[in-house]
Amino acid sequence: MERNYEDKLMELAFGELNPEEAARLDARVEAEPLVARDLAFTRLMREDLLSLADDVPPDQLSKERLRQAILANGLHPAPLRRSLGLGWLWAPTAAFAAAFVFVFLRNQPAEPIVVADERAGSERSLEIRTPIVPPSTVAANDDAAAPIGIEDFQSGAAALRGMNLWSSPQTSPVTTTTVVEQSGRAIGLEESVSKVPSSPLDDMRTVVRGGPAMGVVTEAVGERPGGLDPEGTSAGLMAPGSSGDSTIVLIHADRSGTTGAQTAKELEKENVLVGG
Amino acid sequence: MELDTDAALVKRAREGDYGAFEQLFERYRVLVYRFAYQMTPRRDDAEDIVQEAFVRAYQNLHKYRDEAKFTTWLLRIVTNLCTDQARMAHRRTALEQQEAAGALDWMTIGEQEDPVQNLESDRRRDALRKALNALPTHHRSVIVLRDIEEKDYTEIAGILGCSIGGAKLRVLRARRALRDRIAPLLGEEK
Repeated sequence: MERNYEDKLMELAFGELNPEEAARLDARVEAEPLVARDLAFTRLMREDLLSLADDVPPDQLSKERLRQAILANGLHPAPLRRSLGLGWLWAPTAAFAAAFVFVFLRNQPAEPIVVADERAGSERSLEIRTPIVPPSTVAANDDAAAPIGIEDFQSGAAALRGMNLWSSPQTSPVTTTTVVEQSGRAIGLEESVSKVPSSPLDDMRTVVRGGPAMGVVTEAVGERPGGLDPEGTSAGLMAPGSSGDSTIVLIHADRSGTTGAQTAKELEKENVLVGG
Repeated sequence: MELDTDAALVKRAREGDYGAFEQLFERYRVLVYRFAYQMTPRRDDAEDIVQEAFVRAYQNLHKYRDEAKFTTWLLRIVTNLCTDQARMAHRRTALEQQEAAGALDWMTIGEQEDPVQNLESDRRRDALRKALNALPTHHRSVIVLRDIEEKDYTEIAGILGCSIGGAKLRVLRARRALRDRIAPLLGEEK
C-alpha cells in the first residue's frame, strides 16, 4: 500500500478529511477488503482512544496543597532578569586584547644599553669603545659581517661573545679620540694611545658625561691595524666581523641658536652617515 | 480588560496577588490533571505532575508572554514534566506496575450490558492503554492531545513549539506507531 494512501486512510479513520474526499476514499476502500479491514481497525482504535478520555479518576488536588508546595519553593515569583545578551562578548574581547598586547610587545624596538656617568662641570662626552679585531680573527668570523653602529651594541655584543678575541683578557694598544665640549659646543679633539686590558663588555660601552642625552659627543676608542690614523679618523677601526669597513662616526650635538632645539653635527665619518 | 480573563489573572499574579493565581489553578487544574493522567498510568504521579506544573508556572510567570494562551503555556510545562516523569518511571520495577494494573482490572465495572462485549471492550482498552504507555513520550503526548483531549492542531503546535504542519506530521507518525503496537496485542496483522 502506498504511504500516501495509507496516510489518507488514517485521516479518514480519524475524521480529518473533508466530506467529498472522504466519500471518494470510502468508495475506493469498498473494493479492497483488506484495506477496508485496516480502516475498520483504525476506526475502532480511534473510538477506544476517545473512550480513554472518560477513564480518568477524580483528582485529590487542593489549593492548600498547592500553596504548601509554592511556599516550600518561595512565595513570590522570580523577578524578571533583563540582560542585554552581550555576555558572550567577553571571550572574543579578551582574545583580541591578548593578541594586541602580544603583537605590541613583540614589535617594541630594543633600546641600546647606555651607561650614564654623571660628572660635575660642563664637559660632556659620549665614549664608544670599539675593539680592534686582528685580520686573522676577522677572517675566521666572516659570517658576522655586519658593522656595529651605535644602534647595534646589543647585537654586536652578542656577536662578540663568540669570538676568540675575547676569550681571555688581553692588552692591546688603543687609540682614544675625544671631542671636548664646553657649554654645549665642541672646542677640540684629544687623541691618546694607551694599552689597557680590554674585555668585550668594557669595550662595548657608551659613557655619557656631563648630562644624559644632551650635547652628545662620541669618543671612539680603538686601534688601527696599520698604525694610528694621523688625522684621528676612525678609518682603521673595524667592527668585529667586518673586513676593513670602518663604522666610527663622531657627531656633535648642539642646540640651535634660533630655536633652541637640539641638533647634531657630524664631525668625522668613514663610510657611515649619521645625522640628527 | 476584564478582571477574570487569563491575562488579567496572570497580570495580578505577577504583581503579587496570589489569589489570582489560585483562580487560575481552579480553572485549569482538571484540564492539566486529565492530560497528566493520560500520560502517566498512575493517579498519584499525575497529581504530582499537576502540582509541580503549577509551582513552576508560578515561579516563571515573568517568562510567560501574553500573546500565547495561558493553557498552551501550561500544557507545555506539563508535557516537559511528563517527559521527565517517563524517564524516571523506567526505573520502576515491572512487577510493581503489573500488580497495580491487576488490582485495578478485577475492580473495573464494565460499561456494556453484555458481559461478552464488556470483556472485549476491556481487552481492547487494556491493550490500547498498554500500547499507549509503551509509546515514546513525544508520540504519546500528541496522541493524548489530539485523539484523547481533542485539541486542535493550532493549540498542539503552540504546546509543542512547532508549526501546524509539523504538528500534523507528528500526530500522523504517532498514530502509525500506536497502531503498529496495538495490532499485535489484539491479534491483528497488517
